[in-house]
Amino acid sequence: MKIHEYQAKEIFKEYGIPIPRGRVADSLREAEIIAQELGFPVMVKAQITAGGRGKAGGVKEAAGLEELIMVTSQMLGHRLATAQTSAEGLMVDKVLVQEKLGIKKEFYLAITVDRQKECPVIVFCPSGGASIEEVAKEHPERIYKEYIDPVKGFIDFHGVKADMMPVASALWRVFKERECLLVEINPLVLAEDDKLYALDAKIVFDDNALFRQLENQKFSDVSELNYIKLDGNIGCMVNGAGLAMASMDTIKLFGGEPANFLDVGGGADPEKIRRAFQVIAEDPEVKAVFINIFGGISRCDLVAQGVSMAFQNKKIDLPLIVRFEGTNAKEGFQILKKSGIRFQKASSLTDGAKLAIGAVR
Amino acid sequence: MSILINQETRVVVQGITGAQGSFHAKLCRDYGTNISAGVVPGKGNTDFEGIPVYNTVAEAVKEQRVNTSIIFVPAKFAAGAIVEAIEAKLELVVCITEGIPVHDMMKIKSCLRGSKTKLIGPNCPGIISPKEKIKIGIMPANIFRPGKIGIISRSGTLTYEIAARLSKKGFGQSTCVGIGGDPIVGMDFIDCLELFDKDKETKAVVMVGEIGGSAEEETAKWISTRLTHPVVAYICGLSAPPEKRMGHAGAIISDGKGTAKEKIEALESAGIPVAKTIDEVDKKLKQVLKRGY
Repeated sequence: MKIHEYQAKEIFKEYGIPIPRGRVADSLREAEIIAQELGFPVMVKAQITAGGRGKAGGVKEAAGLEELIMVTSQMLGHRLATAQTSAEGLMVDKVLVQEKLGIKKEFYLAITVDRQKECPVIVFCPSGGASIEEVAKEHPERIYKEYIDPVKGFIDFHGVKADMMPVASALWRVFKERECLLVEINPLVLAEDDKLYALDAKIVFDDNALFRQLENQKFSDVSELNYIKLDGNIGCMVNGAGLAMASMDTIKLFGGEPANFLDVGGGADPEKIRRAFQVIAEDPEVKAVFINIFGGISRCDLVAQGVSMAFQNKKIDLPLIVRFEGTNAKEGFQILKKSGIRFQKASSLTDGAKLAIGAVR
Repeated sequence: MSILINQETRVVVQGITGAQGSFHAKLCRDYGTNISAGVVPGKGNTDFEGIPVYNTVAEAVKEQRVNTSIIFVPAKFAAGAIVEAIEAKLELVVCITEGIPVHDMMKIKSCLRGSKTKLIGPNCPGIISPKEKIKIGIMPANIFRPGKIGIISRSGTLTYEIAARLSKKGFGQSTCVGIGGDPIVGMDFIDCLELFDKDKETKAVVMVGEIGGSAEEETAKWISTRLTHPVVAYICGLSAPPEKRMGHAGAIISDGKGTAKEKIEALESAGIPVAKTIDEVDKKLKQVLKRGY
């Protein structure tokens, strides 16, 4: 679970990592009040949970009131698309208004899970900022990595650089105590007062640890559906992330465009299926729906029940392509037929993908 | 022959009285697996459908000489269940449970390094050998056929998809291992490939990968430096959206690995044919088997 920058900064503050003065605003009026308190110039930062904001115009300086009104009204209530979002972008409901610091130097500091080494890793680079990935590519020798034993934890000699020590140590405590997948400060700046500040803050929590991370739960606004909207017109409802991706890949390979990624998971009940199907059907871009279920722990009959519930609930007038295989596939098809839903039966994943593409043409 | 499991395999089901545990323990036994014991803390000295239940794995080892475990314990307690199985010195632990925190898994990997226990999963469908008639997992048994192809997969339902296709096309399987889709899992592609290479009955291996991490790239590198069984790959996620990305740290430490495109390129440049669709997997298999090794 990704949280917003302003939320991550609240956590940083709790752990003693210095952050610039500032507050979050959800209206122009509030932004004005905060800016007056801080004194101009200020930085205005759109709060979305994706990176690449700076280059996409989501971080702007305001030298005075007029500029503040202009940049804030361009952000609030609008969608912001960055290199890390879909083309339609994410809605900006809040902006962070913070003091503009005089900067002497920018660093990069992060702790994440190294999947290959299977342990936490501290990543430090003496030149931080928006182009950190290019630096990593062109000057890999400038990226310092320190692997941490997950049992022993962070020890002071892991300190990347003596004066980074307190920040690195505090960042480790955030990572470990809040069970993060990523904590990132980019940039960590040396300001004119010769102190370090986290100018930006990124935290990704491990969803799997939410059951015992009660403090993290308050940030949770994700629906339980594993759904990601895409730019195409073929809605996809699949069980298992791997099969869902394979279905999208196959649609794309034969010239179609998937409208979403949706993994209904293992053992979904009819009610969850109904909601999932409605989310897909309510997307105005969707012109056909491809249901691809390979029953193992999931049962095709329960999926069929959920789908027919969705049709009873609301008039849905979309071509439907269904592929059921595995546990109770036959029963699944019978339920769909009985409920009078019109659908095309697909004999395989590829067949279904082709039928769906045919339906939207 | 098969890898990891054979007629000596005696299984303890950790969490045998839960909804999933009880359902699948019966299915595994019906398939032919020697389910020798169950473990549920607090329910020792009872039995489940004739299977003796113990409080601890250590007791199950002592009383029933179990050497393998399958775990259905809920995510909250699953890490503890894995550690218990490692401490009881089991040879193989198959963890089906989905949703174990990553910080727990990092510690478990640390425990595994000093032990002789092999872990499959978590968040996986398990392992099946159609020839030996042993299944330690949740996969639908009827789609598998005995044969000479090994399958190693990070995805559950894709394993079913590919096994069903191969069975239909006459390619039975020696052993199928679902290694799990979590960021940190027990055995990886290379661990399984090493075992398949020693298995005389296996003639070729299908590896099923997906986006994230660099396991496929590491495997490609590993294969390119030695003579192994012919390998055919399928990678899903070519059309995956970029939102799944997390910050820069992932990109920096992975050196530009992790996308489907990069994985496919790495595999192909190591001489491993990559099927574009599931229907192509058996065609690619036919080609590599004809080429012979």
